Parts: sequence; structure tokens; C-alpha cells
Amino acid sequence: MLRYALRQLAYLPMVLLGASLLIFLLLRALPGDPAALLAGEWATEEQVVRVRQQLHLDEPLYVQYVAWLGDLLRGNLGRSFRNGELVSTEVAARLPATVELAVPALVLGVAAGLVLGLLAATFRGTWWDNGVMVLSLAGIAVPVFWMGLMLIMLFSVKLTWLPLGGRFPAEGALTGPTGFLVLDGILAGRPAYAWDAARHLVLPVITLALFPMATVARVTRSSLLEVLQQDYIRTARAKGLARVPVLMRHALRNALIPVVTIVGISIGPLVGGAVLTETVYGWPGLGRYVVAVVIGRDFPAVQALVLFAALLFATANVLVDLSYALIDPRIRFE
Amino acid sequence: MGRATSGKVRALAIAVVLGLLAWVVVAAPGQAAPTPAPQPGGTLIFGRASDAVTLDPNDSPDTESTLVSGLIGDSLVRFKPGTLEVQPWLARSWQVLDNGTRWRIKLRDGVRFTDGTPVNAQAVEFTFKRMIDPNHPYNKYGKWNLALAIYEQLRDVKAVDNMTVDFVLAEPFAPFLTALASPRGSIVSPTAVQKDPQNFFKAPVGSGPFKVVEWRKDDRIVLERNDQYWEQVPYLERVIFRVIPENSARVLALVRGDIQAMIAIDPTSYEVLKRNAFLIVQQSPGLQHSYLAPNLLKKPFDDVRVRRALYHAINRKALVDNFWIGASLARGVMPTAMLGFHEGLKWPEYDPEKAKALLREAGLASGFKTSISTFDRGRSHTPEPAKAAQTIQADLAKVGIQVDINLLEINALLGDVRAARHDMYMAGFNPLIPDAWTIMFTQFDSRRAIIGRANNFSFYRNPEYDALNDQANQAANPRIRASIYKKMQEIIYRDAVRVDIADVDNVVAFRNVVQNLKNDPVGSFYMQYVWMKK
Repeated sequence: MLRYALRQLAYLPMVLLGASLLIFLLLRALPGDPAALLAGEWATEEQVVRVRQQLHLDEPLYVQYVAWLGDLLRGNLGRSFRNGELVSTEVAARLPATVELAVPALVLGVAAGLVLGLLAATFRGTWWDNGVMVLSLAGIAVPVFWMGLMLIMLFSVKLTWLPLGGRFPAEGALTGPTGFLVLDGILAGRPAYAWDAARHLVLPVITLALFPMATVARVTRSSLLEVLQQDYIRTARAKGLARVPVLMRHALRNALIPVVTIVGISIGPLVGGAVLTETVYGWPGLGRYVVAVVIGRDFPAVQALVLFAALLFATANVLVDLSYALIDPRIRFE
Repeated sequence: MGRATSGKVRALAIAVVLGLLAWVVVAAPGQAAPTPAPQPGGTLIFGRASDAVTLDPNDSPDTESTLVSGLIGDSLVRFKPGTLEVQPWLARSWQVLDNGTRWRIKLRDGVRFTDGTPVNAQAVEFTFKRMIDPNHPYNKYGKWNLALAIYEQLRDVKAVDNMTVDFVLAEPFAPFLTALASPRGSIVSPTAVQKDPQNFFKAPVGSGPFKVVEWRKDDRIVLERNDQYWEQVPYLERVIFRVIPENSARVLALVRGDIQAMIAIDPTSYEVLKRNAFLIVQQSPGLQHSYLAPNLLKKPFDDVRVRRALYHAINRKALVDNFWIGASLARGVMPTAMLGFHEGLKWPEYDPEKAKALLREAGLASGFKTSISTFDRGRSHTPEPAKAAQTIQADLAKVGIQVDINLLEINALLGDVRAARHDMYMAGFNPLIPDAWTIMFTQFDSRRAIIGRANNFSFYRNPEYDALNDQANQAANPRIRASIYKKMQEIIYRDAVRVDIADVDNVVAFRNVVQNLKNDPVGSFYMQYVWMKK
């Protein structure tokens, strides 16, 4: 197990190196010369050349790539093409917002999905089952921006229970140790602030949680239904075990493998969903920043963010692989 | 199939959202009251779609940045509110010397930056040298792309004494005064730059009516009034620029009162906002303009009859009504808000029969084949390039002209048209310097029709016209310049050089408690005159 884990971790730098080369080349293959874009429509050819030199875009590709990798190894993500700010500073300013949104959304989505899937499988063919399936179909099919606007209209405009977008309570930002407003509010002994910050989180988290909830519910249901057909379940029931312990101890655990896989894979859609959710709710996170830097051809920022996403995705998948062994003792990584 | 379905779903979703939006937004009418005297105090929260890139006024690359940084600094001259007329500001007076190549500017006494240091000739020299001189110690902290384009003719800046500065130009350039009114020419505090050059762009120090308190990236920029402001001390205590990227969410925030004003209004929200009695939607002439430029180097566009036929063949009004919502039909080559605009020219009407007759006269009774090159996606001056091009294609087909459409990414497109590879180019602009020069020189002079680096995308070349440009560039008197530009517009009119389509208006929506908020032609706001009714 440990050896397997170490081997998987050893692959990680290779994956990242591949991702770095891919994004580096892809960006440069995109139409749209960043020097011309930054210099503006009115720029003369000389001005475009000057910008190209400033950004070192006039050097051969391999020189640019090696220089970037060298900086990366020294922990330097470079400076933004657009305003000269350190990319690490730009990312650090927005990362807590996205984490504060995405982690609760993933937890909520998985938890709710498990419960719903369990209900649907247990009461197969009933209204429970149909209801859950319709809900999960909606969760997959309804566009995030539309769902976001509907929730805003109901809870913020009509009922006025929740704030209309934004992240910060009225009194503004709080400089705390974690960067997460709710947590920092609690740590600073300001429950009212933490409560207000949490109210800002409610709608974006629900919106972002819908997709993972829907997929987890569907997979849990079908996987459970399959397991429930197995001989050992029949044996357990035949031994006289009650329905709930059979379901929880014997069936659910064995049904979890595809569910865990789906959770690992849903990191990708979660990032995509975060872009839309952040846009609808005016949430100042990394999702919106990604869009802005891609449109602005801000190479250093795009490269850093894609690499970060690759790292996240690869790590999540290693963790998913390892969790198989924990869930199912028959799986051995040797 | 999948794409078409998702398109339908999206259209349906948008329709439902808009329906509900209308239901939420339309509210009972408010009561009109007589306008009372300005009341000090209060906070104006201003919603918009994206954040500033930098707050350094000199390095501002876009209007989102300038909207904020223009309130932090003062420039030497400014536009009289609501117009493009230049008036003294930090400059008390100016003198044009050495045949128009040296501008001597006397500064206003007693003005201080918000850090307490004085606004003097040394600060002006520092500000401009930081932008234009690559050897200046603080030049490396900025990009200066637009500033370098605006101040292209500027060669040197020298403090003559404590309150007098000389600007030395490469050649006589009358629009230089207008160029000085740009927020890129805001004077910044040298002390503040020297203290933290790397981070100056986050909290710049100028002498303007407001100062930066906080910038939470992608969320808000908080400005506080400068109580020591030398002119009208702002009534508002604070102005907050909030970023709400989603159009409908921004509209809902305005309706609910979370924000008091907003810009970036899409066509559908425009109608919804107009129906709400608590809101005011203000539309005023802007400077963005769009047009269709045939390439005169290519046959048959070298024939003026063919170019005039284009004017008669294209139903410009229908085009603008459908695809330029929040815009007006162009009434000439320049936006109506620009100084020197010629009121007296009546541009050809839509008349396909007349177009056919002109084509027959030119020996093209059976029509011809050509193409339109334009942007692959909407831009502020040309919101729906593909649909607009298709409509023109249909209009021209009626008179026998067959049109292919090339939708290209902006840089590829510019590469093509600068090299004169296009037949017709549907384009638009947001003028670099809000002066007739931007259009009359940049877009029609033969010196800007050099293949490979042209801005004169029609490749119109006329020595008589060029000579008038020289006269206009040397005429420091605005009235004389305006009369020269009128003469030039008559020449362009006679030669039917291109088909002008739309003038894009500036649109701002705000709650009726907000008083005196006016969008200037350049798109900025003088927030120091704005106040809130309590």
C-alpha cells in the first residue's frame, strides 16, 4: 500500500511536467498574439515589438519554456502580463474564496447524493425513487447560471432572506489567519460576522453542490441496486439480520467504489461549475480569474492556474485510488 | 444535434429568466419631487461587469480601470462636464511656441496631492517621463501601452521653473491639448511612486476628488472623498465600484437597492430597466462608432459610384435597430459628440433601385463578388458582428452583389486589413484621443494607408485631403480647426469613402435617489458633483 502510494506520488512530477509542456504549447498555438493584445489596437508595429521584448516573447520557445520551468522550481510563478503583479499574489488573493466555496459544496453534494441514492435504491420503484431520479436529472441538466438566478430571485429578491451575491459582510474584509471568512469570524470571536459570511455562502454552495449531488445520487443508486442482488446480501438477510444493518454494513460499503471514483472525477466539473457560480454570484474567486486571464492571454497566470488544476486533479485521483483499499479489503496494491 | 438542443434549452432558459426578471423588476411608480439643494454624505455603490486591471491612472489599459483611476488623479486640462470642450484644470494657462512644437504650461498654485506633497512642475515632469522615457528609474514598473500611443508625438518634458513645464513635440500636433485631458495624463505624486513603485498601481496617489481606501480584487474598489480637494469637495463620502459579472444579477442588485447605479447594460436588461419607475436609464452620445470600409485598392471599390451604391443598398436603419441596441444611426464619419462634427451633410438614403442604377452606370449591371471581413465575436462598438454582416450580405444580394463573410480573431483580422488583403472591413473604434484628429487623420490620411501598418482601412489617398490634415494639425485655435475638419468631411462625403453605421451611446442606469450623475462622452463620470437624496 505504502509502496503503491509512493509510486503514484512519484508519477506526479511527470504528470505535471507533461501538463506544463502541453499548456505552454497550447497557449502559444492559440490565435491572438498577447503582445499585440496588450499593446492595443492603436499601437504601432514598433510598440508591439517593444512589448514582445518586454515579455520575452521574442525568444525561442524552448528558451521561454526552460526559463519558466526554472522559475517554477524556485517557486516563482512569474508576473502577470496585464498589470505586472506577481501571479502568486493574484492567486493567493482569490484562492481562499474558491476553497471556501468549493469544499463545502463538494461535502454537501456528496453527503446529500449518498443519502438520496440510498433512499432511491431502498425504495426502488416508489415515489421516493422517482423523486430522487427527477431531482438528480435536473441537477445534471439545469444550467448552473439559470439555477443561480432562480435561487437569487426567490431567496434574495422576493423573500429577502439571503444576500444577493458577493462574498463579504457589510463591514468588509476580515484579515484572519485562514482567509476563510466564516472561520476567521469565529476565531476572532465575532459570531455575527461569521454568521453574515455564512449567509453569503448559502446560495453559491447550494448551486455548486447540485451537480456532484446529482451524479453521486445516481451512481449510488445504481451501484447499490447491483450490490443488493448479490448472494452475500441474500445470505445476510437469510441469517435474520435486519434490513438497515444489511444496507449500511454490507451493501453500502461495497457499493461505494464507483461512488468514490465519481467523486474523484467530479473535481473537474466542480472547477467548471465554480467559474459559472462565481460569475452569477459575483464571488471573487479563482474561477472568474481563470476566464479573465485566458481572454487577456495572460500566459504566466494561465500556465500557473492550469498547472494548479492538474495538480489538484492528479492528487484527487491518487487519493481515490488509495481509498479503494480502505473501502474494500480485497483490493491490494502490490 | 447536441449543440442545437443545448442552444434551444439556453434560449428557453433565458426567456424564462427575463420573464421572471420583468415580473420582479416592474414596480409601483414613485412620486416626483422638486429638486432640492445638494445634500452632502452617503455612499454610492456603482455596479459593473469587470474589475480594473490597474489603478495607476497613467498605465490604464481599459475603460474599467480609467473609470476609477480618473477620480484619483487630476489632469492638466479636462473636458468641461458633458462635452469634449477642453478647459484649464491643473494647468492655469498654456502657450504654443516654436511653430506648435513646444507647449508651455503654467500650473495652478496651491494644489496638493492627497499625501500632502505639492503639485508642481517637477511632479509633472516626473509623471510624463515615467511613461515615455525608458531610462526613467520608475519606467520599468508599468506597461504604458496606451499612454505611449496617446503621447506618440511627445519627445521631452522639462520643468522650466517650479510652476512652468515645457512639453516638446516631434511635430506640430494641435490635438495634444485634448490628449492631455486623458486620465493617462493625470499627475501623480512622485513621493508616493518612489516610496513603493511596485505597488503604486494598487493605491495610487494623485490630487483628485477621491482616494483609494481598499481594493478587494474582483469584488470592489472603495474610494473615499478627498476633504482637501481644491475644487468642488465631493458630496459623497464614498464611492464603491462593485463587480457583478452576471448581467441579470447586476440588474437585480440595482432593483433591490444593493447598488445605486450600473453600467454595461445588455439590450434585454435595457428594456426591463426602463420599465421600473424607481430607476432612471440615461442614454447620452458616446464616442464609439462603427462602419463598413471598402478597400479602395481593390476593384470595383476604386469607383465612387460603386461606393455610393453600397450606401443606397444597405438598410442602415434596420441594421442599427436590430443589432446596435442603445446606439444611434451614424450621421457621418465621426460621432456627433465630437468637436467639429458636420451637421449639414445628408448621407445617402436606403434606396436599392438607386443602387442598381449606380451599379449599371459603373458597368456592373450583373453585380460582382466580394467579401466582408469582421470580428469573430462582439465588441463594445460592434456588438453583433456576424449577424450584422449577414444582414448586409442579404441587402447587397438584392442589388446583385454577392458577399462572402470572413469572421476572424481580432489580431488575425487586423493583420489582414493592415496589409490591405480585405475587400470590405466592418469595423469600429473607441477613439484613442477624443478629437477629430483620431478619425480625420488616422482613418483617412494617406500617411496612415501604408500597406502592412495601416489604420486607414479604406486605403483612401487624396493629396488635397492630406494637405488639410496638415493645416488642422497646426491650427491651435479650436474654431479654425473645426472649420477645416468640416471641409474635410465634405470631401469624404463627396468621395463616399465608407459606409458609416452606428454611434454607440453611453448608457447608465441608476436609482432615482442619485442626483446629478452624468455620463460624459468619453464614458467617465465626474463623481464630485453627484449627491444622494435622503
